[in-house]
Amino acid sequence: MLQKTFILIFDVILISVALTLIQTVSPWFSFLLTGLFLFPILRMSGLIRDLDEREKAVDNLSSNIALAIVFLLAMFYTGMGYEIGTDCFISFILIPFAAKAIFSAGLSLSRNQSISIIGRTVGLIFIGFAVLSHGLSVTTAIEIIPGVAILAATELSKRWKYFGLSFLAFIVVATLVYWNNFDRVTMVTVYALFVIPFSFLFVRSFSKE
Amino acid sequence: MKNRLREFRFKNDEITQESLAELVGVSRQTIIAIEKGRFNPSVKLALKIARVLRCRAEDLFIIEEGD
Repeated sequence: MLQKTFILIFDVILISVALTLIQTVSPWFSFLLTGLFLFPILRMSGLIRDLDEREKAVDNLSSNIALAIVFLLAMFYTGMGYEIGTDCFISFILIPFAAKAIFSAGLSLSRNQSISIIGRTVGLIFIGFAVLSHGLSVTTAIEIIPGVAILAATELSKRWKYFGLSFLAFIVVATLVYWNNFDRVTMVTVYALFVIPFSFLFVRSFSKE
Repeated sequence: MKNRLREFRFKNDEITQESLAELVGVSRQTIIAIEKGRFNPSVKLALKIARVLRCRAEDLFIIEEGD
């Protein structure tokens, strides 16, 4: 009972802080609420099944990894002397949010399931952005190529592990493209959002069940 | 910790990992992780598995020197 009271107080404080941040700093902080409460609410309402004990352990581990990534980001931003602004806040929400989701899903699901979910999500996000930005046009057709390549690499690496090397190639390409653009926080955020899932997919495609 | 999960699964009509997982209320991945020794189950889960496999928990999970 005492534990439930503490959780309730903690949740109320979190919601108050998040709402204050949404109002005063950036609407991006709504992701904070989504990230914290979406899945517990879905589980409570019975829409998705509850986590078993190993999945809870993996969930904790992925939270720790996300926290470590936040520390690394903070050190990197301080070292690079970036100005702390809205972009920094966005990166401090989006990057750990993505890392937590990727590591949590990736470590608790089977090899094929995790490659499918993460690879397809990243590929479809690429395609979605291209379609939403340019509608149905030639530019879209060109811009969806990376997304299609990611989807193809995803499906192939499930069957043949050596296709996982294509994720390493994506990391190399992203690094070459972004290498000289790390002067802005937004670029670091975008780069991290490429590299985290691709690194995970690369490692996972070579791992056994 | 060693375990004889695989052996006892086969002794119990070759029950699949999927069926065992369903019977004890965990995911198949959790059964795989336990079987491979990558995850040590709680006492509660160990007892549940032992009950399904009709054996004692200490026959199923064997503590090793240095554990």
